Amino acid sequence: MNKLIIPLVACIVCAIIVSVTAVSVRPEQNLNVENEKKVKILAAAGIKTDKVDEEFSKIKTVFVDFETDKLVTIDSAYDHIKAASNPDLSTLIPKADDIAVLKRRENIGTIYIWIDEKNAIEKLVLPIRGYGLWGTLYGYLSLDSDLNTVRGIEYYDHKETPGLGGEVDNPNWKSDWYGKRIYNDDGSVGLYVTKGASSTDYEIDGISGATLTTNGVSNMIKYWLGDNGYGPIIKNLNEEIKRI
Amino acid sequence: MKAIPAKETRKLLFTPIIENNPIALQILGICSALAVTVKMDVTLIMCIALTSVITLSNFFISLIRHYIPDSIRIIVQMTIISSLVIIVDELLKAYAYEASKELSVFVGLIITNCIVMGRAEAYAMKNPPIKSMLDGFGNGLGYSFVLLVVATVREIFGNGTFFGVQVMPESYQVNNFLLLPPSSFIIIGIMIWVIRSFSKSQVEEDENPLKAHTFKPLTVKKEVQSG
Repeated sequence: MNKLIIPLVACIVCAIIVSVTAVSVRPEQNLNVENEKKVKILAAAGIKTDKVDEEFSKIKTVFVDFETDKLVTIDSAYDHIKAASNPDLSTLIPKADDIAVLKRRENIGTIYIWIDEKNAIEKLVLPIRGYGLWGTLYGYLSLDSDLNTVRGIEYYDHKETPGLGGEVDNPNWKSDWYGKRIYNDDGSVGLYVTKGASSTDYEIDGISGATLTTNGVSNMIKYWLGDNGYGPIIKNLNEEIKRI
Repeated sequence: MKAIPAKETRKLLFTPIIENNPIALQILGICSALAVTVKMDVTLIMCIALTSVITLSNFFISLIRHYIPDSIRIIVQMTIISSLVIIVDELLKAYAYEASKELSVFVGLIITNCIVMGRAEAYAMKNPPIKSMLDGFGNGLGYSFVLLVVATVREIFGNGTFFGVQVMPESYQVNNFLLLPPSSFIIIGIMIWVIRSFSKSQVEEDENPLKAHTFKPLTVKKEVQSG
């Protein structure tokens, strides 16, 4: 009898304590995660600062409707990651187009833009995500004012193997993205992660032992900057910014 | 409950630091000693996390030791230890987010840390709660002592900093090897050597001594040549 009651009591007491702790510190944790995202957005654009909120307030957050490829005005509390798992706010991606293995894409995406005094785009940050080896990598890609040059990349959440795929967080590797070109002359996405060292402006150094992760990175670049992602809006973003 | 004599308290708290160090003598819990000793601040948080887990787990396990059925005692111990570790992990994520990201899986791995399991099984199951708590805290200190020494060496010579503050002159060429996990093996090895050369009782008996040379060289018989 003892053999049943003691483990049962121990389990129940432990479970209650663990869940109470987890629930009571959840607000602080969420705050940290939100702050971390802001830090990563700034880092992708090459800004390293302690005054995260102050720097972040300089950013104009705009929303893009992927159906019409126009900027739209919606509630600023919109979260595109949450929307992507909500059937009312997202669309199923046809298998053939789903190279980044996302299953669903939100109908309205978010873009973070820095705008200078002349109302022109200084730089911007696009949220990207895609499947690597063990799970989805969530990150940000920053583009320069010509909308064709990479400023930086940052991942804020992934499940890749530390030391192998986890090297996507390695500052040396991330620095290789700076100044790389995205679109070929014909408008298709040319940027990808190669094997070994990069030799052209469209290639990023490969990561040894992380072929599947880097393939995932290439695929998510191709998807999000392509016609099904931000591609069309990027091409007429300058006009759109002036419109809204 | 009888008060524990001061002498015994001292013994419980301080013998695990040098005389019976869980890492240096018992060679337990090496995994995290290799992994989280690159930076002092992260190491310090890991030490606090492990010490609080081992102290509390020893206390709670000792509290219910008479009621734990012998055949499932490990599972009950694991339940208590892992609950404490999850709580510590959640608290770190809420209040020390940067450090918790750098510690990543190693906080979770405290669950399987041999020191925590070992003290629960070897001490807390047989001794009253307060004594077990002191024993857990003492072993936590012993673990922390080794980790902090290793981290000090690795951060100062591998990165030129201490708690993130530059201490080595700019001209100092950092030793990148010290930033890699295997360097801790060497540092812990040197620590064990130093500790054992001061306290000879820790030196283990040679279980497999080399035998004396028994190989007889072949001798070629010289055939007597008849001339």
